[in-house]
Amino acid sequence: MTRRVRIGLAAVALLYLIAWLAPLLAPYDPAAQLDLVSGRLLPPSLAHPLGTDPLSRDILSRLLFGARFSLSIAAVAVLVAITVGTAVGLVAGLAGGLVDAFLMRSVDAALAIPRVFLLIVVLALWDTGGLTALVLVLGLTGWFPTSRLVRAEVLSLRQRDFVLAARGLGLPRWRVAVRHVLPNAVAPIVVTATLGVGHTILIEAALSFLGIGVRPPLPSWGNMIADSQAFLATAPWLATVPGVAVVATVMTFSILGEALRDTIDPRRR
Amino acid sequence: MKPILSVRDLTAVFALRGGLETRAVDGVSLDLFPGETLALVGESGSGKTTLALSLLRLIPDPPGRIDSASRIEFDGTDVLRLDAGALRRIRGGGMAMIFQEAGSSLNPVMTVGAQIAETVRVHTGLGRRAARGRARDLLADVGLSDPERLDQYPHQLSGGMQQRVMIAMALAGAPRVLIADEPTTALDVTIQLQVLDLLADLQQRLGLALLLITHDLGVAARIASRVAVMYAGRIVESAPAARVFGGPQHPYTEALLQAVPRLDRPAGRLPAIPGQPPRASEWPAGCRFHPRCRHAWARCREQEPALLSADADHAARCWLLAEPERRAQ
Amino acid sequence: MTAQRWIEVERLTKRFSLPRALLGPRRAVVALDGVSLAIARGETLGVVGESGSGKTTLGRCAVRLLEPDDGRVRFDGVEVLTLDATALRRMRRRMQMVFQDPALSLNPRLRVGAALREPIAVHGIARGPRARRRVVELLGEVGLDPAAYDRYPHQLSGGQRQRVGIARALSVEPEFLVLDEPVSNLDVSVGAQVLNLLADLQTRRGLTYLLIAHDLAVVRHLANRVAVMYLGRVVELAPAETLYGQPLHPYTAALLAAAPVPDPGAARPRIRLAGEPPSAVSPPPGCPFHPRCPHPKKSERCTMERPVLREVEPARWAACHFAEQTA
Repeated sequence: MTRRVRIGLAAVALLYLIAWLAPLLAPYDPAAQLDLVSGRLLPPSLAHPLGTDPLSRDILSRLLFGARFSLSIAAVAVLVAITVGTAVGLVAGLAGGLVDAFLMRSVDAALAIPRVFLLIVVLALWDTGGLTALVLVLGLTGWFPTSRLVRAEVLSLRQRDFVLAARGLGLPRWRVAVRHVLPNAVAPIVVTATLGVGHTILIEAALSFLGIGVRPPLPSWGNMIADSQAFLATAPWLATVPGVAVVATVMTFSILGEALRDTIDPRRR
Repeated sequence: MKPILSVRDLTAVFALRGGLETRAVDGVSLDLFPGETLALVGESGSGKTTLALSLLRLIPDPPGRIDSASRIEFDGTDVLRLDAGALRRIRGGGMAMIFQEAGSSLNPVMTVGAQIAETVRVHTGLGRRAARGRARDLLADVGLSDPERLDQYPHQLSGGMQQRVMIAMALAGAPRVLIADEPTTALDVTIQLQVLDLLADLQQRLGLALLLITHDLGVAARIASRVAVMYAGRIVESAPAARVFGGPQHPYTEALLQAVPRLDRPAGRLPAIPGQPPRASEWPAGCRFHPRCRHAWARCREQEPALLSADADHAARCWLLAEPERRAQ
Repeated sequence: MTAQRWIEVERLTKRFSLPRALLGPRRAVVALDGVSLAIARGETLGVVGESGSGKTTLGRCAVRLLEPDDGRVRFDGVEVLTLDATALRRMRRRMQMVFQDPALSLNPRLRVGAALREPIAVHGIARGPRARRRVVELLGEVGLDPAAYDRYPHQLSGGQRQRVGIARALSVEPEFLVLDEPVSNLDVSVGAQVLNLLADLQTRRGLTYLLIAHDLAVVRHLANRVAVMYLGRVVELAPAETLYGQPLHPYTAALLAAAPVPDPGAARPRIRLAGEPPSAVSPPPGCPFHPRCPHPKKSERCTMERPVLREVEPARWAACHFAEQTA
């Protein structure tokens, strides 16, 4: 584990820690409209370190809770994606033949549809689904590359002597698949999963910006940016603060993902 | 006669994680004379491949580097002090190298003829057509005289033929020294024989000096005039081939000749060498072979022997040469 | 069924299809072309050949790690190829394989102890602490320190990994082992140790071996009888010392002449084979060896008529029209 990986992991852990402790760290209730008369659009001050928004809600509190939503949605969505993707890739790679062909052609077809459009359409139609719908749809539209990766690893592992030996020892097929093939196929997934979290945060922010992700009054960095559009000239911090948060978070995951890729790839190959 | 290649105190150091350093090649000296075949024999971890790569400065730096006290003299020129341009001219032009897996060393998207012609042009400055003609001649020299070969791709050739192509490319610059790193290890036995015959034949015709690196004692026995045995980064024995195989002076060489399954000895239990070759990060103190040597005594554990002379041209790195009465029975 | 034919393969055939161009002709490599052999209980049958000879395919088909296209495999009277999944799983305990490359034949994610316990548990041989004890015994039997139990394969040397591979094969208490190039990826000094170990194990456990190797000298150290393969067929079969002393087939003679011997002064017959092994996709008509054959009696008959493996002398088989005159 290199230094870069350690730093990246620490940064990601810190982000999640902050998000988890949001209720403790936030000075105010993120939904509380504190003072609609004179507390709106206040610039950063001691009382409100990041200022207040058009509805006099404390931005710092909303940022922290926004982090909570964004990070947890992304984590669960990616978890769903890699679980489904790994299962499909494993089955396709091991079964071969028609099963493999059917699964992979389905993946090809699904990949032909632009993901963001698909997300917009489904979420717009399923507007009562709330966060559950968001997480599920994000996860179920994001598993296709994972399945391809896993399948490729599985195909090459199938021919390896130790897998042949496991079959030769009379181990049942499921056991060979789960104990011998699967653990050796998951290395590349660690990288895609990490990068995937960053990517998902970005998509969620975009969806929230469009109003179909995390919907008001729940705070999300994306809908915070949406709300700030009318005030770019007068209260620029409304947009920059959540914007910087998104960028910094996505970059952190990217850096960790790249560092992991560098440690995993040359050693195993 | 002066050696065409003279190596003195060659040491190649590799940096490991955690700041450690290991010396894959540790103070090796050898001479290669024109027209002779020197076989460098060793098992894995002995440093023989690193040695070969060092001769043409092919060790990636980092993590490896050649110690500044080393000297590699080719035809009077110190290879280690050359600038990039002069080094390029020597590579292929003065000393050429062929590798174990010919298939991986050939460019899969260029025809065989094109690859050889390219090397020819780099080293001789001939024009395109003349270079192609020379490529055809070189292929004929290595036994691939069918003119169709020029336009074939490496994957269309068998392993043995690919190796011949590599040899042809190596000869394109008219080198005086050919370094062959396990050239036949990946080949079938009958093809191996063809390639070894070819190397011996070329050496005679072109007056080359051949440095053959191998782990296979039988291969060395077939074409070597002299043999140097490497163990744990050092040369432990060096002598004319007949002496090394007929009367080895170092216990490692002796044990190796006993442990190898041989067609010329009756089948029976093999006297195996206990233990395994040490890793570069774990060289034993004193004589590096002592933990596995049946003769070892206190001096071997404490003090590493220098190369001692058994004879005018036979040396071995073993205290038994100084104290022959210590030989166990 | 006698002890002489304890393991039998009969007319074993295996083809591997090659990728074909769209609508192009179907092409296949014939890896095994009707091979028939028998192994006696307790014996070591050596199979030698160069690449493309089919020896590895033979080994894998013999333990049904590959499904042959044609032919039969009989083990102690049982037809191995027609067994159903459950019966096959039970049969697997009796026959095991040791693989060539120790670096690739162990699961890199499993510690040695776990890898050896698994087959013991799956076959119900032992559980819990008893299983652990058995594993430690196995480790000792193959010459490994009990500390190896907790190691990962990458922490072991090549020789140690190969020993683990052998221990794994022994964990289910087999009677028959297929050894596929057991020492070719090991250093000479380590290989000798492993060969000695295999010899000891055979004596101690009464094992039967099918030893596959390209190195004639290696085979000689363990084999009672040796079969020489060329292009998917057996071209000679004889007791080991007889084969090495007086080969009947010109290919065997060429192999012996080409094998490297660490003695520069050794008198070797000068036999040089021309050309390369022919393509296994479209073998030449007649004897597959004829294009390269240096036999002085080679004639037109060789290009037209495929020689059959026949008993030229008692217990000495050769597939050559002129086997009697090879010497």
